[in-house]
Amino acid sequence: MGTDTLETRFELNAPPVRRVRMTLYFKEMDELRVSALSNFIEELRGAYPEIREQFPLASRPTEDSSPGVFVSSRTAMPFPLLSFANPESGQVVSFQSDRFSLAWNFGNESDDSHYPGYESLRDQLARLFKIFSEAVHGQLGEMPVANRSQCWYLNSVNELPGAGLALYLLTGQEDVTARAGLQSRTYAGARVRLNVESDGLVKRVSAGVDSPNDDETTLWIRVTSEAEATDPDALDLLDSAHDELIRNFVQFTPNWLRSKWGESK
Amino acid sequence: MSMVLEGVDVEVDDKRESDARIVGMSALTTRLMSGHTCHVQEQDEFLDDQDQGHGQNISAGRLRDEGGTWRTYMRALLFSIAAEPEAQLRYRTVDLCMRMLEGVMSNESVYPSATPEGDGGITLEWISGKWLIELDLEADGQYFLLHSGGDGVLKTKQRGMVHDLSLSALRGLVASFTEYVVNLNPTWRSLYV
Repeated sequence: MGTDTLETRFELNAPPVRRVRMTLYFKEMDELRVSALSNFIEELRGAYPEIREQFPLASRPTEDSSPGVFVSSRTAMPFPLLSFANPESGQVVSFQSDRFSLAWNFGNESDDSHYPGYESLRDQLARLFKIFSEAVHGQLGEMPVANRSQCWYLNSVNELPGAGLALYLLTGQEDVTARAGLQSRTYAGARVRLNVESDGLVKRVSAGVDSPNDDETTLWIRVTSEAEATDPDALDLLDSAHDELIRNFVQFTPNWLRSKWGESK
Repeated sequence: MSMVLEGVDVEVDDKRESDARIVGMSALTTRLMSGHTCHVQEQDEFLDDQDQGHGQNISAGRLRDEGGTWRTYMRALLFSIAAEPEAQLRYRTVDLCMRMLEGVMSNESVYPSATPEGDGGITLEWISGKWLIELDLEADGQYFLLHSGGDGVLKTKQRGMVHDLSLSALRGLVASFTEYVVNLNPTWRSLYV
């Protein structure tokens, strides 16, 4: 993990990041058709050969609103959720008529890929989104209008049992330990959500610990950043989401653990 | 909404199962499901690439226990000790202990016993016959090492800071101890099943 926009640059020599997804949301484009993006899709398939087509994800303006918008404003056939995966790199590009997303996997058994830092991933997303936007513009004559951006990081934190990290997430106390693992336990975890409002931005933070047993513990943090301004820059929103994510990562992990991961002071 | 959802048994923790049930449902129902499960399930709403083999077992890369089970055994043992408030054993010390063992244990090594000192420290012991390796990891960062071989004669008695402990020397002692135990009881692992 790394960012320049925090007062002091945050960096880990051995980050525990196992999966990242960055998503740019934009105003739903009613007229978008798969056929209109055929050139872009063909281009993507060259680098991401495994393609999947699914029902679109529900458009949900905010995370704390009640169950969501079930039916989009489209009157035509729904634009599907299209995903393009590169099984070798573990990268997956996904998009539908209101969002564009890129996901990365790190630390697979099959390779030694390591998290390269936020800026590198952000640049990859920006490049692909630019190509996507131009393809959309070429067909519809309009660019996607960004309205919010999201960062989602999944970290492997097997240094603590799942229930132990869940306790830390909730209490911030290092001297609180979890009860001994039960043989029959199939899940332990915790969730927190909070909203942060600053500089005309609303950042919705969700974080959770999930653990099926005491050998596997994951800590994920997701931040969605939304601007009050009408025409925000999607990548600026992404940066602010990532900054907020780092602040929460520091809150939700003990100092000694970040020292072990090589936190630079 | 409830009319639709009532007929669908969605397990909050089982994404695979819930996703499998989504297949074949109408677009509208899928939207309902997505809206519903996102509120309880959180995590990543794009579950597609995780569930279709594009993702991977998140922890697999960090928990490779190739050929040996000492990590699994010792983690569970130390976490269970930490669960007892009287032990005052913190996860930080458990992690320090596991990292120390990484430098000492091989896949063939006999497992040590572990006993809390009650003040946040932990004692690891490899004992068989007159063989003894005792390593105290104390809460203040010090260690105390005691070693006597098969003849019962005390050969090592050291105290110092943990970061000065010679792991290669300790690894050699544990290897010798393991050789001794394996000669006596080649099936010693069955004691830990």
